[in-house]
Amino acid sequence: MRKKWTMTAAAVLLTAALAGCSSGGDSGASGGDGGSGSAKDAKVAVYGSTSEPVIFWDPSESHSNEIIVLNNIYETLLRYNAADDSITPVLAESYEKSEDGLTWTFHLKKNVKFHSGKTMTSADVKKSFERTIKLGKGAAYILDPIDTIETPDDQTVVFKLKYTATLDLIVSAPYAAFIYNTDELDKQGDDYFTKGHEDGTGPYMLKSWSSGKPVVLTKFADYHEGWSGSHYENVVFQTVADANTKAQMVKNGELTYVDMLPVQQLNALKSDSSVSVVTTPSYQNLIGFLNTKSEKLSDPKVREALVDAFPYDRVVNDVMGGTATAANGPLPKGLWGHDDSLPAPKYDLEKAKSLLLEAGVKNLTLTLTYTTGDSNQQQIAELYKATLAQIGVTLDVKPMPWDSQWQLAKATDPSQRQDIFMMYWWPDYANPYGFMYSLFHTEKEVNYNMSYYSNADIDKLIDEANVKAGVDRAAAARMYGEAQAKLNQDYPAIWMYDQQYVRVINSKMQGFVDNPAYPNVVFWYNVHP
Amino acid sequence: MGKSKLIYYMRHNALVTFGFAILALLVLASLLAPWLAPYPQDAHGAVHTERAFLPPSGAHLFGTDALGRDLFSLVLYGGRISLSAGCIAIVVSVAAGALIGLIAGYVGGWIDEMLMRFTDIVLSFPPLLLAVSIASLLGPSLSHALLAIMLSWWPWYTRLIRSQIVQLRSAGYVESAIVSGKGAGAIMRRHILPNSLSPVIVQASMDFGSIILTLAGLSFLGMGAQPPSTEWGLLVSQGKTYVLSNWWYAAFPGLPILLTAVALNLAGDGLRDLLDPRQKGVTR
Amino acid sequence: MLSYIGRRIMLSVLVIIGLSVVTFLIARVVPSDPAARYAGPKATVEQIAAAKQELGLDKPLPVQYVRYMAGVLRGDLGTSITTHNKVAQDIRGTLPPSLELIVLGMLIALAAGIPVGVLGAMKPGSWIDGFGRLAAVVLVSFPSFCLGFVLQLLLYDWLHLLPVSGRVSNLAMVLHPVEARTGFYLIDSALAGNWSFFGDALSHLLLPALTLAAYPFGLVVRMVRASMVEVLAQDHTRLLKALGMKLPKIAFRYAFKLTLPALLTVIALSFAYSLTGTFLIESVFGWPGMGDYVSKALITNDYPAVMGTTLLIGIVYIGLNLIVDLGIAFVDPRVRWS
Repeated sequence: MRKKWTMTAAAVLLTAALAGCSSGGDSGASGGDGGSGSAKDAKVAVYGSTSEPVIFWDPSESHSNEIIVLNNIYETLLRYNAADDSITPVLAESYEKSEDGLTWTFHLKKNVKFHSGKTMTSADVKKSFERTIKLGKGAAYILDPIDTIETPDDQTVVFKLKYTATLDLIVSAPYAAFIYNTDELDKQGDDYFTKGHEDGTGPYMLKSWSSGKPVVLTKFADYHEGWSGSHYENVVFQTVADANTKAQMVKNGELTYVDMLPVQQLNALKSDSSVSVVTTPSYQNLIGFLNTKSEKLSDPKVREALVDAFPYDRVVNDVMGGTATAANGPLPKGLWGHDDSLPAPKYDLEKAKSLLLEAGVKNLTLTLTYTTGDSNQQQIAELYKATLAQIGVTLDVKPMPWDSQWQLAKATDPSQRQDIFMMYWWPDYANPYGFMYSLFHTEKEVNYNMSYYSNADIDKLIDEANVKAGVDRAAAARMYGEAQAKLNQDYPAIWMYDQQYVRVINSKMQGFVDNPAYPNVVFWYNVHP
Repeated sequence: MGKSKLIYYMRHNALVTFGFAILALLVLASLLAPWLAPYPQDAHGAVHTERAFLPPSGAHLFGTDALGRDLFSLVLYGGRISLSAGCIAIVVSVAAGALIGLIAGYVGGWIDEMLMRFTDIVLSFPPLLLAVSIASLLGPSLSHALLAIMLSWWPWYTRLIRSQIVQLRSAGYVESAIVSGKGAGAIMRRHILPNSLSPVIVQASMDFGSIILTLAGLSFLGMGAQPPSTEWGLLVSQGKTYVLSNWWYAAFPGLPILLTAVALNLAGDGLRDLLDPRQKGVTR
Repeated sequence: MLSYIGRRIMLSVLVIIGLSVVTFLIARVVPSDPAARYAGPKATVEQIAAAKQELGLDKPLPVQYVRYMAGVLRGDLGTSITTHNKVAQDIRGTLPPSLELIVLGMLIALAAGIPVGVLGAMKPGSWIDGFGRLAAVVLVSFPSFCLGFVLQLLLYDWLHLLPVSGRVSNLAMVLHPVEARTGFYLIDSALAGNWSFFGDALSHLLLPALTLAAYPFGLVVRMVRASMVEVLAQDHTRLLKALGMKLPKIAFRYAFKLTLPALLTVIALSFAYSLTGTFLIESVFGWPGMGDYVSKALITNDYPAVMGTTLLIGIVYIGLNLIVDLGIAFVDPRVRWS
């Protein structure tokens, strides 16, 4: 009998030994700190990103999440501050535009060095923009107004435009406006950057990267703003998809900054003194596009009923837990052109019911599509479904992979398309045109106008406002306001909410300002350990 | 010797009985879900965002989820989906596999050769990978995940049945039945099927567990059941985000998956010892 | 024997060709628009058309298949839609982490499973046997993703013993980087003599490896126990016992060798299981391996990535099957004739 017990004990010990050796390995590892991380080292910052930080290394092709890295390696002529609608000089010291708004002159800062050591001149600016336009990839279409670029001397760049446009905002864009050393591409081949190299003027240089591993940046000693004062010297961009892990890591100080977290984790972290939670209105919103071409929804009364039946307060407060605000139109709060005077839609189930009665609609069955795996969209869709059921409308909720969702929306046979399409939207740079034109301007071929909306009056307003913006931004904003008011009378979509950016940062990270014009970007040079 | 063996079987059977008891309990609970569930409407689209993420309590035995739905009710209803889906998958796989195996084994010749090579080819696909490819071909849904599982499981039964039949064909009583001119159908019904049944039952009871696990895994990866289904694997995957903050969300839907698989494995072990002692302890 | 081997190899080649056709069809018939994804978010109509041309999606399907297979033979698996890297390059990056995980998981399973199985077989019906069998049943039945959560809660959240996810901590990455020679962190850091990096990488590896080891552990215990019971009941082991040799010595010295074929089979089976078992585990632990890569690719319909990895995993899986079958045939001549 005793022998049996020893054997059992042996087996238990074996299991324990496995855990034991692990802990031993760990303490031997990074100098005896079990869950320690880089953020505890004062000079290293770690950015915890939900999705892979780099896809496009080529600054001309960039159009997605890589901008969180590229904006620390490359710089633009100017930078736009969303908070106070102002512009800060970066590579250009100053600029002026002609009376007619068609000629813009930029005066470059002197002694700006590329990471390869070369001094930046106006020729580099010209060549960067010209290459981006020529490639035509990513967000290059925002450069469409540019006709020619001239370089009267090494420090001066003159842009001639085809039509008036907000060139100051365009050259501040988070993508397609980076200045880089094109000579390096002539020497090393045009895919040199794509292969994971860089040559920018920014404060940080690429130290190491390979697919699936963190991106590591290190300080560029000859940076034109200098390195006096306290700065992070190394920046790591790490992908942490799992929310739990991310929350734990920022709590332990392994991450300096976390781009987003579900409400539950945020609430748990709010009382934690080792982190701060920073909330800023973003340029992103969630819209439920109503299929105006569908027979079921062609009557604006029915669409109005759907708009009234959407439980705005519960979505903003319960599902989003205060990480979103009520919306009153397609343009999110914080982006110029947003009109505070427009009334926000109100949840009114009784009104929705009587509207449906008026329209003579019975037994309405609608399909709604959203992107698979997005738990916010899923919860909102199910909440909306439960609400609609109360007024006798059946909502068939379909989660689909984004491609399939979009493919269905573009189906050649309109009767196959969905009735309601949930989609996030954000602008390519600080300009309402990206919202208004892409989402509600008449389209010959369906692309992003998921309401299939077409209204000549509104088309005209959008087109005119865009051209006006280059000369008189205030007047353009009024025109966008008018266009939104008109849209609201037609009920082409449900303005579900305006997103708030909620970042969790280490409490030691100082001077952080979230700039929604550069989505998810932290300008690491401007924050201090 | 005799005595210890008896004790061994007793103990073993206690485990087997335990397995069957858990299984019966799970099946019963799922069947009686409409009567047992305290909030049956929660499994049918009701949403109460005001009581989201409540920890387990008297009112909500398993706590509530992100939409304020009672997890105990969801898990009860989820059992109906998960268990019946598993049943369908196993029954269809066995039926299809057995039919092909019967034909191959009984007819023999080039048909046998062809069918068995085809079986080999299907068996060479990693099961999860096949399931995953089908899910991506037809779009993620519970029925597609089921189809994928059935497609990758049937060949095992074809192999099993065929080898049984090849053995049995040469058995004296079958040979004499053939010689006495009985029809193929009669011989299969009378002699072959009953004799090859027990290894199939054993195999199927073990596989049932793996199928439940695979199905849950597919749903977990987003390639099986889709919301607002209450399939167990899907519930776990929805609770995944909250493991460290609201442990009950993933834990309680995960528990019945584990229990079902354990119960089926214990039951399968016991059945094997009782029905088919030759295969003792061999799993694939 | 030779003709049997020949036939099995021929069959495997056929299966691989079949696999390539099936994965290609599955990947390409999916109702989605890879070009639109490739062109990036908010792509214009012109950009999508350009991407279609670049990816060769404007060609008819058979042409696409032939082109693809020609590429595969040259080692070119195409370009990933999401990462924009060559798929072969992505696989080279994600294979070492997965293999590291699988190999360590297998080692844990064998190191724990063999003794438990042998001890159980020596005293059937004993406590240790009961414990072993129950542990085997529970671990074989545990949904791997749930086990991953349980271990995370236990060893990370409560005991603070192990890191929760990732391959190595950022501190080690920045302060003690290791030159990537093989891509296996343990090997690279050992070669460089960088033991702090080695320890760090190992501690990150343990949680997922333990999770992955659960299922193979169950298999090993069952298989070793069953074949050991059989061997111990044979006449020659009884003879050794009659000659006065102690049971543990018989079991570990002599009988164990006779169970080796069964053990090799179970190793190959576990390896095959682990190949796809990592899918779920890597997703739980944010482990940057092939499973994580392929499940992301599936969700985003990244067909070149799915095809490349499926082909590779399929070939390895088929190879393992071949080894198992040949192994069995070698041990049991009857199989060759059936």
